Order: sequence, then C-alpha cells, then structure tokens
Amino acid sequence: MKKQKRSQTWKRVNAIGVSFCLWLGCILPVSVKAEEAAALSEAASPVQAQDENGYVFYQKTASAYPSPSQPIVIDATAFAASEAADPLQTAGGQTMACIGENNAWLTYTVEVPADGAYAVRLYYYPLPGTGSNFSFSLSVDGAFPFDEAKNLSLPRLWANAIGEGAFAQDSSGNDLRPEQVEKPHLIERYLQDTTGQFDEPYLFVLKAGSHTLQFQTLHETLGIQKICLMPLETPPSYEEYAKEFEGRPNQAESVPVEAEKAAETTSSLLYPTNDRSTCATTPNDPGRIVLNTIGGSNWSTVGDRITWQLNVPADGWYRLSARVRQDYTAGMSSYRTLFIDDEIPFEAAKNIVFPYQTSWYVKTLGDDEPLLVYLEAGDHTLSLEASAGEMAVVLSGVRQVTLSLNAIYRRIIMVTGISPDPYRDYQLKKEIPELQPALIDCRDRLKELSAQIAKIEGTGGTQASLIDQVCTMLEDFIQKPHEITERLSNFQSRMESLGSLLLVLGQQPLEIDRLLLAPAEAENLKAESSFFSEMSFEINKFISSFLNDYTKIGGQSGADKSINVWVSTGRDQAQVISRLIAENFTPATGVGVQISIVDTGSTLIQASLAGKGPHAGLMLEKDAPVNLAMRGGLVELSQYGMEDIWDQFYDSAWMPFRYLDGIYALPETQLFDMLFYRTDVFEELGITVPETWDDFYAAMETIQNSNLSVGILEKNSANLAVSSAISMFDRFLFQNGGTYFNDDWSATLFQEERALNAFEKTVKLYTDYGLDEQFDFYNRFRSGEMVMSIQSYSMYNMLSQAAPEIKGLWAMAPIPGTPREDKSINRAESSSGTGCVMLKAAVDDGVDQITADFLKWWVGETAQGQYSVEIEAVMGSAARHTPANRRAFEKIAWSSAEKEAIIAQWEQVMDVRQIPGNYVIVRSLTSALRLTISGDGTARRNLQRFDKDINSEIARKRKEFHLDQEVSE
Amino acid sequence: MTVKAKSPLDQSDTLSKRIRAGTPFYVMMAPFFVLFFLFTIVPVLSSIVLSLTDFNMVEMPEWIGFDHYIRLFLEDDIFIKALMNTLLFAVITGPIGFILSFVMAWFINELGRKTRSFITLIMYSPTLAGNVYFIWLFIFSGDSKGLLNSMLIQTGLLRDPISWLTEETYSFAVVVVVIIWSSMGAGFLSLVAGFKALDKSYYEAAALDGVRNRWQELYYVTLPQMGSQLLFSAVMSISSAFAVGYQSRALTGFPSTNYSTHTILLHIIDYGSIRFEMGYASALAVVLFAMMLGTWFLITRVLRKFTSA
Repeated sequence: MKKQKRSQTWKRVNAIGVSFCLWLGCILPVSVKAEEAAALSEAASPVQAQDENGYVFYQKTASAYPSPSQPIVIDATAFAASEAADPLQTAGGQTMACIGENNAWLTYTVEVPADGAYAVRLYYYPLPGTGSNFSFSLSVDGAFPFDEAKNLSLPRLWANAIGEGAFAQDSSGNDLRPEQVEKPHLIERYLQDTTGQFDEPYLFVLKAGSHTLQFQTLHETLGIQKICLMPLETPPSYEEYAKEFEGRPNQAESVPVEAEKAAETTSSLLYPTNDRSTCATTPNDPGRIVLNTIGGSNWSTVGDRITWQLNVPADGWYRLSARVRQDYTAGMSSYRTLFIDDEIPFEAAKNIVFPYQTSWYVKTLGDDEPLLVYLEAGDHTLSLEASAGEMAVVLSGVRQVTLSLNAIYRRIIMVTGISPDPYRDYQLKKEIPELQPALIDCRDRLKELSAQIAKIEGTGGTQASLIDQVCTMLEDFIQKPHEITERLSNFQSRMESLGSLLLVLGQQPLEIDRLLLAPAEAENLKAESSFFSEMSFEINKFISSFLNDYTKIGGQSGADKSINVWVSTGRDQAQVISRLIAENFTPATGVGVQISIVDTGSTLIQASLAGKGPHAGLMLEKDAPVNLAMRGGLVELSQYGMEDIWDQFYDSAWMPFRYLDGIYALPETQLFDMLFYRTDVFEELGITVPETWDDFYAAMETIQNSNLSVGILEKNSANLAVSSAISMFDRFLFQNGGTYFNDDWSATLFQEERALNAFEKTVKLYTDYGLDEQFDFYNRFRSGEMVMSIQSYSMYNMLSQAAPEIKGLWAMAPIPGTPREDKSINRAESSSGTGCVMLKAAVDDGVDQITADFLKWWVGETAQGQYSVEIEAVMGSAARHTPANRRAFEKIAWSSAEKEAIIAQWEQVMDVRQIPGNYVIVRSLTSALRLTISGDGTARRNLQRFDKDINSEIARKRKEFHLDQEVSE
Repeated sequence: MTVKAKSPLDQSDTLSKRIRAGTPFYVMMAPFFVLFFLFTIVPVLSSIVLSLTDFNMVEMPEWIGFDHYIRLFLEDDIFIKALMNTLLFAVITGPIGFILSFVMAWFINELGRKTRSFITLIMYSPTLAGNVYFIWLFIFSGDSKGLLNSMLIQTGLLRDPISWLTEETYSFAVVVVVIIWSSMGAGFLSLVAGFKALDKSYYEAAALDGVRNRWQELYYVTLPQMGSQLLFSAVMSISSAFAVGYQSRALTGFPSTNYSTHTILLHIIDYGSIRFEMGYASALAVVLFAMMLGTWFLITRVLRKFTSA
C-alpha cells in the first residue's frame, strides 16, 4: 500500500517535471525567437531581386514605347550648361565639347516631337589620357533612368605601333609583341552594355516635350562632337541585300588577310599573339616565337572590335571565311557581328555563331550555303565585334536569379547563423513566410534558363547541367524546408558556381589566324596541314627547345656599356620592362640592360658571395634590402643624387630602406589596406561607413546581430608563419602615436602602455568580438555573408574582375581611424612593398653611376607610369600595378572617386625601419598573438614575455654588426 | 699439382701490389666515390670546421673555437625546444612508421599478386608524390569551412573552428599524423620484397617442429630470415625521423607558432638562411649529424642481436 502510494507520488513528480521541461522547451525557443524576430523585422530585407532599377526591368517599359520615326541630332558644342574646366576644345580638326576629370558635366536640352524609345549614338573623339576606356554617366531630367546609365563606357582605338610593317625581333629572332598605341579619329558608337547581358543598344524612353540630358565623366576626358537619338536600326535581310546588288559585275579574286595584322582595335589587350600548336597556323617557325594570331581569351568582352584594312582588286561577290579557334569556354559558342565599312551589311551578319571546338576550324559566313558579300574595288574595312548573341537573355536571367538567391541566403543566415545547429528546427517557413514562394520562383526561372541554353547550344553541356543542379537543390528545399539549414554550405557553394557561370557566360573568346575573301567557287582555307609536315614541325620544335635560353630577355643592340639586372617576376612583366628599356633608357643613355628572371629573394646573397651577382636587383621584398645592406652587400644610393625623386614618394615608402644614415633601395611598389564593404547590405541594415574604431565596433555589432560577419584576417593560408593581425596591431599602435623602436633603433618600445594597449585591442577582436581567424574573403564577400573587411587595396581589381554578380554592390573606403584632438581622424597603418637595389658588384665593375641612373629611371614617374599602363594592357586590370611613385599612380586608370579614397589613405600610411634582427619581431608578435588568442596567458604578459626575446635578439645582432661600439665612440 | 686461382686481394701481397691488382674495382667505384666525396664528405668536414668560426656569408670566417657549442647547450632555449621536438618526432614516428611498414608488408604479403601490387602502389604513393602536403593544409585549415572543422561543426562536436596548424596544442599532433602518413617509403618497399624472398621450405620444417600459429611463425621463422631488410628499413625510418622539418615547415609555417613544431633541421635553416649565421648553423648540423650517427650504431646493435639469435 505504502509502496504504491510512493510510486504514485513519484509518478506525479515525474509528470510535473516532464511537463515543466516540455513547457520550458516550448517557451524558451519561442522567447528567443520572439527577440530574434523583433530584431529581424527592423532589418527585414526583401527576398526578391534588388535589381529593380536595372535595365532588365527598364527594358520592358521601353519596349512598350514606339520606335521613333526620326532621329534627333544634337550638336554637342551647343550645350545648355556645363561645369567643366575647358568645355570647348579642338581635336582631330573639329571642335568638341569636352568634359574632363573631377566629375565635370554637360547638359543639353532636347525637344522631343513624339514619345519614343531612343537609342543614343555618340560621335566622339578619343582624347589622350591614361589609356583606359572612357566612362561616364547619362541622366535624363536629373535622374538615371536605370542603374547601368550610371556607368557607361566607350572604347579608345588602338593599333600596333609599327603599323603595317614586320614585327620587331629580339636578339634570338623572336617576334616582340608590338607596343599598342592609340590611333585616334572620330568614332561613332551606340551606348550599349559591355557585360553581355543585352544584345541591343540601351533604349532611353523620352516623352514628347523638352528634356535635359546630362553627361558626367567618371574618368578620362570625353570629347563629344555629336549626339544622335536614334530609332533601333535593323539591317536588311539577305534577300533584300542580294536584290540591291543584282546584275552588278562579278569578277571577284581571292584576298587573304593575316589576322594578326589588324588595322585597329578597341582594346589595348587585342595585340598579336603566338600559336605554336600546329604548323597550319601561318606564318610559323618551329624554333622562334612568331606572332601569327590575334584575340583569344583577351577578345571576350562584348563590344570589343577588331578592324582589318583590305584592298579589293575587283568588284564582285565575295565569300568570307576565317580560320579560328574557340576552345576556351567548353560547350559554349562565341558570337561576332560583322561590319563592312562600319555597317552591318545584312541581318545574318549579326551574331555569327562560332561554336566551341577543341581545334582550329574554318568558319564561313553562312556555312554550307555561303552568304556572299558584294564589294566594289578599292579599300574597305572589315570588322568583327564580340556580341552577346542569344546568350544575353540567359546571362541577364542568371544574374537576376543569383541576386535573388544571394538575398535569400542572407535572409536565411540572419535567422540561423552561418553554421546552424543541425539539431534545432529553425522553423524557416514561419520565420520567413516569403521564403517558399521566392524559392519556387527561382527554381522556375532557372528551369526556363536551362531549357533556353539547351535550345541554343543543342546538347546543353556543362553550363546547363550546372543550372540543373541548382534546380534540384532548390526543389529539395521547397519540398523539405528543414533541410535548408543542414545544407546551407551546399547552398552557398552552388551560388558560387552560379557566380562563376556568370563569368563564363559573359565571355565571347575567339582566336583568329587568318581571313579570306574569295569567289564562291575558289578553294577555301584549310584548318589542318598534312600529317608529315605536322610531324617534321614537332620534331624541329623539340630540337630547338634545347637551343634557346628562356631566362634571358632583352639585350639591346647599339649600347656602349651594359649592366646585368635580376628581376624576380613573371615573363610578361620582364618583357615589358625590357621593352621600356629598349625604347626609353638605352637610346637616352647608351647603356644596355641585360635582364634575367631570377628569384632575388633567396639567391642574391649567395650569388654575391660566389661573385656571380648582378649589378642591380629589382622587386626585392621590403625586408631584404636592409638585411643585405648591413652585411655590406649593397651600395648606398643617396650619394648618387636622389634629391629630385625624393618628393615623388611618401616618406613611408622610403622608411623600410633606411639603414644608419643611408638609403639602400628605391621604392618600386607600395601596397596598403582599405576597408571593403557591401553597400547593399549596409543599406539594408541601416549602417554607414565607419570613420572611427567606435563606429567600426558599432557597425560590427549590428552586422553580427544579423548573423553576418566582419573579416579581419589573422591567418593567411599562403603564409601561416606570419600573422596578418600584426597590421591591426600596427594600426592601433600608430594611430595612438606609438611606434616600434626607440630613437636609435636599439630596442623596442613594446613595454610602453601604448603598445600593450594596442596589442590587447588586437587580441580582443578575436577573443571578445569573436571574429573568424581564417576565411576566404573573396567567396564570403560575394555571397554577402561577410559584409565588411579590411583588405589590401589590390583586392579591388580582383573583385571588379572576378565577381560580376555583385558589380555595383560594394565599395572601398579608407580604414577606420582614431580621432585626434583637433577632431581630424588618424588613419595610420603600415604598408608592404618592394624596392630595387644596387649591389657591390656594380662598384667593382665601375658601372655604379650608370646603375644608379638606371634605378632612378626605373622608379621614376615616366617609367613606372608607362609600366603600369602597359602591364594593364598586357595582363588586364586584374593585374593592376601598385607603384610607390605618387605621380605614376596618377596615370593608372582608377576612377576619380577610387583615386581619392586611395590617396586619402595613402597620405596617412606610415612605416618603421627595418633593423638587424627584424625577422624576430614578426615571429614573436605572431606567437604572442596566437598564444593569447588560444587562451594561453594574458595579452600583456605574453607581449612582455616575447618582447624580451625580441630585444635580446636585437642586442645580439647589434653586437654582431658592431653597432653599439660606434655609438659609444 | 693444382694451380690455385689467385684472388687480386690476397692478403699476403704487398699493399702496392694489391692496389695495382684492384685497379678495375677502384675505377668502377670512382664515379660514385668522387660524387660521394664531393657532396657528402667535403660538406661534412667543412661544416665541422665552419662550426668553430663566426661566418656571416659575406665577410671572411673568424675563428672562435667552441663558443657556438657552449651557446648551443647553455644559452639557446629554442635549440633545446627543437632538440626535444626532434627527439619526440623521432621516438613517436620512427618506431610507429617502422612497425607500421612491417605490419602492412606482412598483410600485403597474404594478398594475391595483382591486389598486392595495387595496394603497395597506394601505400607508397605519398612518397612517390613527393611533398604533397597541400591536401593536409586543406583538411586541417583553420577556416570554419576547412574540411575537418566544417565536419566537426556540422556534427555538433565543435562550435568554433580550431586552428589546427597554428595552435600549439594541436600542431604537433597534426605533423605527427602527416609524417606517419608519408612513412611508407623505401623501407616499406624493401620489406615487401623481403617477404617475397622468404624460403617457403622453412615454414614446412617449422610446422613439423611444432610451430602452431602465425605469431610463432612470424617470430621464429620470418623475422630471423629478414634481418637485412629490417635493418635497412629501420635505418631509413630513423634517419628520416631525424630529418623531420620540411613537413612541419609546409604545414605549420616557418617558424611555427612559438616554435611548437620547430626541429633541429628547421633551426639550421633558420640560422643559415634567415639570420645568415653560417657558423652557428654548422654547429647545429654537426650536432644533428652526431645524433644520427649515434642512433644508427644503437639500431644496428639491437637488430643484429635480435636477428642473429
């Protein structure tokens, strides 16, 4: 009886306990969720695409308007108002309205007779500048009709410097890539998209009445002669075209054209290239580099045009064919539009398809039933322009879906965090009611796109299957929403692959070997040569590979004296350096320069020891020169008169190359960090760009509350031994007036309160604020889960080239700082960079003066400026140079806003000297940081402990170099 | 009367006569010996000499006697740490690698011909592929999306990512794992070959003599027959265990956080190519050389006793 009662009581207690637990279990998540929901509703973001101001949507509006019956022509010199320094200039024999840098603008008043959608055709003259494309904005009645109008671009015209002649050769008989020079004349072009999303020129809707058009430059000076508001033109069909020339004489003769001898191009990247894969590519040589093709992956941007000049001997109908290669984008076709004398002759000449194929092939206009072109005797131009073709629709579709998916992803991680708890049900369906419809919408759009690709490309290929995979994933998410949290990383990587798909879809690569205009019955071009000639070519190639020295570059003829220079860089860069020397330095001084590609970092000291060293070394890391100098390996440079170039650099650039009272290297490049942030997410969360660290922490809190992240790298996977967070320590230290060393550089100042404080702040970023120590910035920034990060400013180039899906959704600003007493902000930080040095061998060989002259020339404004421009021309803007020379920097194609931001930061950069034993500082700070972050000891104690190591090593090294004795003497 | 063929190395001849008689052998040995002398003997001797000097690679060396050795053992804390690490690496990875090689070779021996060569290839591939530590950087990345971290986070075992390669607590273990992964080298191959060369008749004889199970077979029959392969494999694994350093440099950075995976080899590189103190680096090299030599003597003693019994 008693027992039973007890068990009953137990049961009751149990029941109460269980129900309490259940109740608690229900309440807790709810209350947490309620808070989260409250926080989220403030920051709630639309899940749909944010591109509603884009041309995609505007296009639909525009298509409802009629095509205007008559073009409106505006004389550009008759502007209504302007804010430009010197608006009227004469160029190319005509008066132009010019708008230069610093956001100058011009406005025009237009009377529009009837409602219509107008295409804008500009007649402009490419005025000299930094060599990059003209970019500007066009607003109508004070507003931008669509986002793309904020950044329009027009090309310059380029040609080989040598003109029609033979290519110059180096001493081993290799063709040298000809310099690309501008060949300005009046150009007429439509304002159109260059990303490959829209096949036709932009249409601007203008209603009947008076309107103002405003042109405002972003960079480069634009000279406009005439503005035409035109209806969309459609070329005639081939039948109409054929009818027009019916009954004319037909005496066509073959006209072959070597494609590498282009008359003009719209990009400096369209230089002649070399193909040695087969001897069918003409001309060719097994042992030498012969420039014999043009284009390739450099000819991928929509709107890039190559023009050839031809002389047609007789009137007649010509069949047009080209020997081409398109093995760049697997499974995708490239498109080209044909212009003859700047006109599209007929409909079929638009968007000619060049299918993907792994080898060279011959493409004939019209394929099996050639479409003949009628040409009269005389000079003609023939142009091919990369065009978007049918892929345009797909591309803009994929971009829209990617934007939507990005927004969905961000919305999800705002609820779940980046690494969600797999055992918790986040009730995504309830939390984000619009999630389901948005996913369904994305899936449907993707299915349609995949079908479209399959229709265009036939088989579908890898691109379509990539889209199908995303579809399958979305289907799963729609059916089982609880799986979303588990497969979040899958979601992210799928989005990344869609992002890279955008890159591929937007490209239209094509390489051309030769063109042929010939009568219909004449023999066509051949794609391949015979087996035996191919075999003998390969054997010759193999034999000659033993006879060439590939490390040596240049060696200019006609020089009295010569110096040896080692460069640690790639072959392309070395070739540019060599050409600059041959064009500018050798003619002016009579000194030849032999350039060898050697990794100077590790070998300079050994080579000098063995007496095999060069006279000068370029591109040494910033700690190398002083390390060589204190061992007596280098020549002091200020004795050769460096006063005149002194001001071309900031003090911070010289600092790492000072040792004792001398200067042992001249600064070549300088690179520092900037703040990168996502403008769209900042807007969503209602935060502004942080000016001070307090702002930064506040912004960080808001961002982290939304489960998004801020990135300050501690570990860089490329070099684990050096903590990237040391640059944060530098910032906190320098901005509070601290520095590394005492006045005679004999000991550190890390025991000071300032340093301890800065160190503590740095550690707190990871311990208290919980930042990730290691991450892949590029991918996290693209997906939007990392909203703000401090990164080297060269990251700008990578993002602008390789992250097309977030174009216009991010920006770069100076880093946050510490307010000074006068309310200005101290944004000091350290920089990295390279320098060039003169070795003792130069003095021994008696060429020290000319070596010094060479170094001075090389870091000077002209050489660095030209080098920057040429490197960008050869390797694209992703490889943009970061010169230490301030004036050379001005010549690089940054837009004025970017330039301003970079210079604002650059002025505040500071650096410390490199001293004997400097290697111990980085490693000790790294160890101290990492020990503290992993919870082993306090920040202060660790810094003090490692500071002892640093100072004892410095003291030991000073003894080795007898530095203290000199002081006491 | 029988004419006895005379060996060219007959001990009763004079030295000069013996040298003359042995000329063909010396000629055949010469190419290797010249190279061995130039690239092994000379460097060893010159580093012994250099270790007694102060040499910064630009100025002439300066004679300082045994100062470096005194500093090495009495002042240089990092050397002691590197020494401890090297010994620990050697003690952990050397025997484990050796035993693992042996056990694997034994197992593989039981398999069919094709499977055997296939598995041998797989086991040997880390050595063939050379310094492919990249894959481990990927696995042990400190990124929360690194392979191991993301797996642990997804299963709920971790909340925050661990910096496997830079946190003192983990980096040593990670390097040990990677070294063991790549320890199936030439020693392993020689063991595989050794198992194939065993005389089968011994097993029958042993079975008649009362050997009951595979363990007894292994102990009484197999091992005594494989003396030379065991010795070779042991020497290979011990010497490679002392030369540990490149692995830890590639994985944990150079120098590693607070020298947690610093070894004598890395210490030599540090002084030789970063601090440019060749004399001190030479002293370190001499110590490492002495250690390897000592261990080699020890190993041969132990194994000889074991196999000749």
